[in-house]
Amino acid sequence: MAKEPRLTHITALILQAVDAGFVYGFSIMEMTGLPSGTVYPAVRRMEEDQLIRSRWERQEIADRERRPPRKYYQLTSTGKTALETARKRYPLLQRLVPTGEARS
Amino acid sequence: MTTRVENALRRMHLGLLWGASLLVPGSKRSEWSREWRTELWYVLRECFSATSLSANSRSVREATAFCMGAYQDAIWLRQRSWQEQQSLAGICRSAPVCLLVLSGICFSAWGVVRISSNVAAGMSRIEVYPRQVSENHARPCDCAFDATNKVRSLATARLWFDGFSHYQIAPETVWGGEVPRTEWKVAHARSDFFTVLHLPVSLTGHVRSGRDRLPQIVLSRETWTRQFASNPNVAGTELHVGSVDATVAGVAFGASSGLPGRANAWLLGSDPQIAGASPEFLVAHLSPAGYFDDGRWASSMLGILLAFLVLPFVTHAPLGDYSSRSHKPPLARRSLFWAFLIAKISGIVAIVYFASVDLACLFVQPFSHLSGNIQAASAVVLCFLGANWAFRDQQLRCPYCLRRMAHPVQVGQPSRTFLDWNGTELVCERGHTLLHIPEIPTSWFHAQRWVCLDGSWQFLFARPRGR
Repeated sequence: MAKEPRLTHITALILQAVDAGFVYGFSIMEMTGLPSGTVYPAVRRMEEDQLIRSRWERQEIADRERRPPRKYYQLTSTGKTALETARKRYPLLQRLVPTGEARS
Repeated sequence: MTTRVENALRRMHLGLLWGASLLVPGSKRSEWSREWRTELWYVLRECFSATSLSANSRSVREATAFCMGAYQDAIWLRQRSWQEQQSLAGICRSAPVCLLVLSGICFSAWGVVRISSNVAAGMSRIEVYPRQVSENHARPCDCAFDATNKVRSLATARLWFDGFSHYQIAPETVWGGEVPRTEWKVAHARSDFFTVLHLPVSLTGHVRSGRDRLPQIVLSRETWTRQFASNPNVAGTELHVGSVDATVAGVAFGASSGLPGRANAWLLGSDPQIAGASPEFLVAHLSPAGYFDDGRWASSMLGILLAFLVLPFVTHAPLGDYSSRSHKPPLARRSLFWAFLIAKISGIVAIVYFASVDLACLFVQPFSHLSGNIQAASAVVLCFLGANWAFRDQQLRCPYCLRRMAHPVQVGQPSRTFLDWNGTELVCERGHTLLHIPEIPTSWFHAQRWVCLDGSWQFLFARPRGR
């Protein structure tokens, strides 16, 4: 059973960023403005709490685009519920990271 | 920015990541490194896409800051790993795990005993005692058991073996059937020679039985090969052995070849007579179980008893009293506390017994007169250490949940004791009890003291969900 998610500002912000389509570490950093030393441990904690899950991009896709494969994150159902709670708690969240702003 | 500088910067940043990766627990290092190196690739691509020098220097600083963040991530992972290890240590503090570990050690020691027993029995399946018939035919003993040793009598040796027999080698002229007149070394033995020694006899065929049957002769493998051309139907062949007629009963393979005297055949059914000029051999079969059920347990038990008698005089391990203001645990809990101590001591006694036999068996020859002494001495030492540990461990067990007390804290008022601290306090992780151990025994506080915590303390010890 998953632990009760800790909805800090950072957690909420990262959840919102992932939901908005910023699905890998560097893009989350760029969007939220948080340093790497904050984003990556937070992402690991969230993954441990089953708010998000990760998967590696297929090597063929990365090879085709001549770049290393990325590790992508996506919300779990628990994460989506937690994000809904966070949005109610932090009404400005959606304005900070509007959904659909993600770059490819 | 030139490619050369780019490469230098890339290597520097990769070096930073490599340094951070050393902090990451080994099981997660490769995945961690892969992710950070990938991310660095994208960070550097962003950096080197800028053209102006000022933009570049800022980007390099950003890339370096990115890599420095890896150290925070690595430290977080390392701390997380320590937390997991601490929760594992918490599991190890529980009483069932303690008993499980003791059982495991006991089982391992027993396993070594069984292996040693089989090895010893396998090595000494046949013990041979050259019996000194005359000074001229005295032979050196080539076995572990020294028959000339006056310390161990044959009566003692009987405890180790489950079968004795003897045979006498005599030269005999043998002929009959396809065998021409040949001089053989024939061992005269009892009819139950091979049965008593658990030696297999192969190629036994239809040998005539009954009152008028002839004495049986069992061929050695070499004789069967050389004289009978490995004929599988050799059983039943009649031979003249000296003045006796005998029937071939079979061929002795395997362990029989190790019997001394290099006999060509064993003539069974004739009780060997001691002759002045013929060497006679006494042979015994070692029982695998007999080696350990022969009264050797007495050496270990003597050592264990001695250790328990000495223990109170050399160690002081009070199990503590209770504060006058504190509630005592209920009788059922206290009974469980003592039952756990008894279970631990029982486990230790079993471990000591098996381990002392192991030591006696592994470090000296199984039948050496030293083995009993080593067994007793090792039992004393091991039991003393084990019992001492059992009592000291029990001192630090919560009387309610039997878990090891944790979080030791030095407490006290230096001005009142002339010492820095006058004691150590430990607390039960479940919040049942507080244990105060005085640094030095005083007239008002001579032994460790338990303080049972009431329910109002429980909120401090509530475990977080999911852990």
